[in-house]
Amino acid sequence: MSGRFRNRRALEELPEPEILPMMNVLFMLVMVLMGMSAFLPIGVISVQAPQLGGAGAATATEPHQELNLKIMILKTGFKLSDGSLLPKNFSALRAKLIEIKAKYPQEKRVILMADPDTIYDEITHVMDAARPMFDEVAFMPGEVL
Amino acid sequence: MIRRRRRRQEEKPYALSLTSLMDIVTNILVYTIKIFAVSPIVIQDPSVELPHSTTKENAEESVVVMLTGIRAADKGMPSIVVDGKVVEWIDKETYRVPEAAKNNGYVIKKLKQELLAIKKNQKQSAGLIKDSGFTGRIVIVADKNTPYRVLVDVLVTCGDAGFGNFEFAVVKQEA
Repeated sequence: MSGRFRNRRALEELPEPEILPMMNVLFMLVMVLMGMSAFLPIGVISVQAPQLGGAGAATATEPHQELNLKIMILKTGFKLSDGSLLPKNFSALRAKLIEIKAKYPQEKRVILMADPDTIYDEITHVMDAARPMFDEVAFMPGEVL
Repeated sequence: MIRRRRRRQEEKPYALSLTSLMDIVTNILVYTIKIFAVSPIVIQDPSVELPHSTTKENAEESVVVMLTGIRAADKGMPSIVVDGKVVEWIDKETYRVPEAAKNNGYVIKKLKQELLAIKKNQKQSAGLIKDSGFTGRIVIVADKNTPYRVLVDVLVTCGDAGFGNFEFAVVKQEA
């Protein structure tokens, strides 16, 4: 009799599993994952393959292109194939590209060339400045000095 | 006797049950992981910091060529990684692909070799698996400090291997 009572009491006094640390870990995981998914929405920018033959090859494959607008990213600024020189200001570049687009509304393509030291971040900003006026971006190998 | 037992029960401290809260947190965790897994491009290298862009295009699953940053773990050298495998190292001092590793001044030999193998696999799987095959699409995931000379080498190599639809991975931001 007394043995059975002791067993029941022992069962009643059995400690509950400590789930608070696990809760903390789960909360932290939720926070980290939520933070990462909210701050890193990854998108893409489509570009065309660079042509080793240069601008001549581009003209040969697409004869309807009239302008073949080239943007050269220099150390000090931007040089456009129409001869204009701009300071390194993305708003000024955008304004100039809007002006060119107004003159050549059929034109959709822009070819990028850059100084070899130009960083990718800067190239992305130039592509952003060219959009949506010029959707097709192509790269041309070669060094602009 | 009964009164005394009741009083003893009332005096017992009430244990807070966390089980239901645990269920909620687990559900949120599963949901978050599911959302997180939707993105086809996963960047695990802490040395790769993507540039920000106003693009509206979303990433789709395709071959990923990654250009890691200078803080990469292995030897502290930046590298070219294809689908998680390092194929070529970039010189840390000059931040250039070594000339010996290239053909024609642009085509990175090992990268081309790797891409041709992937292209062959994709073409072989075209007849076996539905909605598969060679699309020529390639995603370039590059650290924002990667210089133009390395970027062009990689682009020319990809184009030479038959991958002509490039997509640059960026972090979307509002215009």
